[in-house]
Amino acid sequence: MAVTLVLRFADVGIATYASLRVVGEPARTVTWVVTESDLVAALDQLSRALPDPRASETVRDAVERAIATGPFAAPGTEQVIARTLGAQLLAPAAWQLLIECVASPRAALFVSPSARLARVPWGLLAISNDDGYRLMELADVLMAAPSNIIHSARTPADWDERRDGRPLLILDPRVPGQRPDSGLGSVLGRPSAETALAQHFTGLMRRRAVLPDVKSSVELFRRIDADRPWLGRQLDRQPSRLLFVGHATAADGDVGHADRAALHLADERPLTAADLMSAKLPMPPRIAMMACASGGDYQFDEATGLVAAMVLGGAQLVTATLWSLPTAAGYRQFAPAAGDHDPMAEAIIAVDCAHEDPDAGRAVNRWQREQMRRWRDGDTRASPLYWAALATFAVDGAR
Amino acid sequence: MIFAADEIAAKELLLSLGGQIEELDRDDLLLEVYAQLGEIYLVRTAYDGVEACLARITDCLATYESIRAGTNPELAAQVTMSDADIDHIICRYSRRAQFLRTGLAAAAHGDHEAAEAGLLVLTDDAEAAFPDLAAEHRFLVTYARILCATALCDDDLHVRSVPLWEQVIDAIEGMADGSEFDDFLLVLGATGYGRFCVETGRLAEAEPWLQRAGARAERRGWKLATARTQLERATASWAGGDRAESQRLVHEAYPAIAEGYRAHDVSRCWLYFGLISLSIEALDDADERFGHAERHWREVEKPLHIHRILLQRSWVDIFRGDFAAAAERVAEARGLLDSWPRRSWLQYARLDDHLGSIRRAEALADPANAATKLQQAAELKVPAALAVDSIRHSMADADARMRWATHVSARILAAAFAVAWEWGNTELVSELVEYHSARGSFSAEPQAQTADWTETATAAVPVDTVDEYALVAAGLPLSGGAALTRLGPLPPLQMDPTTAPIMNRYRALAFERYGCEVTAGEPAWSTWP
Repeated sequence: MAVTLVLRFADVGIATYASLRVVGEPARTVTWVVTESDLVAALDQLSRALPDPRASETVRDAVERAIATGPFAAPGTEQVIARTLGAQLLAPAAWQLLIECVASPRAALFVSPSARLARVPWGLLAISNDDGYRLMELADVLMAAPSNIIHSARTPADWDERRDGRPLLILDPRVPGQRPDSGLGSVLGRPSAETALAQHFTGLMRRRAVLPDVKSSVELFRRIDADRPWLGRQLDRQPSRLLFVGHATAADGDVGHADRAALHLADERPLTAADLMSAKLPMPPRIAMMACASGGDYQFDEATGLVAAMVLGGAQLVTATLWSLPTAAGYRQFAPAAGDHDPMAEAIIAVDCAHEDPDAGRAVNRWQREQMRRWRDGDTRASPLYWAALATFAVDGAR
Repeated sequence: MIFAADEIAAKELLLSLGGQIEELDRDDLLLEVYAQLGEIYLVRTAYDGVEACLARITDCLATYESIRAGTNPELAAQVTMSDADIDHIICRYSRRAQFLRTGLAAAAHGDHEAAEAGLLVLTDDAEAAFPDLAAEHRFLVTYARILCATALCDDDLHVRSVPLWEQVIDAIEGMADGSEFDDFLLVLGATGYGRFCVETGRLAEAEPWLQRAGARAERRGWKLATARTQLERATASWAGGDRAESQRLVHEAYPAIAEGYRAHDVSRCWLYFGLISLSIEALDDADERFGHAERHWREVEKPLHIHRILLQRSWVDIFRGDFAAAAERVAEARGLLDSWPRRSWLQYARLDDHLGSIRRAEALADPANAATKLQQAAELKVPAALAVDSIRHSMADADARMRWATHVSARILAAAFAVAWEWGNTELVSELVEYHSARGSFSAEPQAQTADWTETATAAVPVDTVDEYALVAAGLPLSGGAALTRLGPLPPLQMDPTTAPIMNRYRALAFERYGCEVTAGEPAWSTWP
């Protein structure tokens, strides 16, 4: 039986308190304080690395900075930030406890960050010593859902019962009134049977039927009928899992209304977390949301965003992204050496495959480790802008 | 003169008229003199004078009523006025007397139930026979509402003042730009409402009302009224962290307020002078200034405010390292609260938190006994923090939760964490972290936190709970179909399969001390994944 670790942060005014504990062995608990100055410094560094706009930046500027010049642009600078964040956010005693818990099978580390630490890619963090181990090497990193969500009335959908069912694939739905190159335009580009993604789904369709009903995988992309009623009908067919690739909007405003976080379907109005709740849409056991910052629930007051809505709807494992993933077109524009490499497609395929694994969260971690090692060994096509962005929330014993 | 708060001259003039009026044998004018004098005494907190005026008016009206009832034929023979004129006098001055009674109950005695009943009598007095008195009636009703609402706020009963403020705002917004009477109500109402907004944490909403009141008062040349808007803006600046602006405004406001002899506002000025001194660590100055504030509050017998200024003064003791003196003041403050019928559990929670701050300061000053002192501090602070934080989660509205966190719970909760951390109690720190994250995260927490000592006397009381706080704390969890947030207390939290639910003792203390059920009576939640 693998060890389970819990890492929690609590922002209280000018200090952030943290605890790391081993389930079943409370005497080993470690606590520490992250000072305001360390926290602010860490977040500032991180924001320089991520493709989300800072201050007056445009989206284009932000994507260019992240790909071409920011700390995630090269393995050397990425390693520096990984160590810095590792030292600022985790106390030496916490690293020590993590090292003591190294085992096979790997320990599962559940993280519940504080609101301000919502976008931290925990698995990427490195220890500041000669070994420079990454957190993802010491443990499989998962995200914990808040207890108030887990203990709400919900009817979880069970993977073991659904695993042979059909996956529901919503790929880049066409938001009405948006040109392909506009803000809510296409994230995957023009559909074609020749793309790596289309071929991946063709392969999947050979092995099992999928939802919606299509004759060829290219019909899965850029659908104009994928609106709310359509989604409701598809979910009623009890899919084994859901893969959504498209736009998401974070809830905005100072007060924090996470239930306004939304997915964009082929619909005039975005589908908010609150809509998902009130429609009581039955969610499949596993969901992947490859969208702009769709995993940013912890940024908001009370984690009641999309992930929470999906857990309440029955999901037990949700993989989401911590920040906006640059599209393939954006990536190639600012990384000339990349050629026709498509890191977005690579990440989508990896997550889609991982979600067929018995332990989907651990499988996502495995892919992240592989990518991290490629990157560490100098393969700049394995950009952390993609692999580090993935965060998997797991409840009810899912791993 | 009364509108301009030139009350001494007004009073002298009124008294000088007395002789002439008696010579003329004009009871109607005499009644007007007493009504106006009563109003002057009321606003200057000379409540004996109000009672005396009320007695004179009541006696006089009783005589006229007996004439009209036909029970006093002797006097009736001497009266030259028509029945209609007598009825007119009775109607007009009964209302004026009722206004004084209402104001007296609210302001002097803090008897808000009597004030409410009095206000109802005044409002219901819908005698339509004298249309020429309708405008005056409307004026009196709104004026009385402002006095009642302000008195409620003085006693921390902001929630109960809300319906009154709504009526006041409706009345003053509907006024045509015009008479002195209208302007008087606008200035008084907008100033009072502005203060209400500041004290309930709505600084942005307060600003335009205070600006508007100030501009109108200035246009009229009403110096005291102008100064009072400056004082309220100073409190808003302080609450918003702008000390320089607060200092400028309160200095500007003080002379007119002192001259106007508004005891409560004079004390409030001294409070802010003291806070400003404390902010530059001028402890002796701060002590002296707080001392002035305390003296004036004792003069007008405001137990809640004496209680608060004692807590504030104890910060000076703490900074001087005189913890015994600080604890003594806190004990006196507790005694005042015990004997005050309108005390609430929130005031006790803040008091305990403050006593915990004294213990914590003692620990820092005396490393040898630090562990004991910090343990005592935790015993005081943790239950208080659980109680105020549980209220935050009883609020259905996200904005309301934010206000409560900003003005009440965040600071107390942060202090509980700090004490647990300084104590070196890993178990308690991890339990607090667990409790905190079981709720979901607190992203909208106020990030720039004010120092402890700035809060005591200026404690704001958000009004977002519709019911009494204590009732909300004990309420059942709400469950709504589409609601994403669990409201109300959480069940006990068990964070490890090998241990019992966390913070049992502190939860029990919170219930014992504040009557707050910080835990729902449901099976424990396991919080390990």
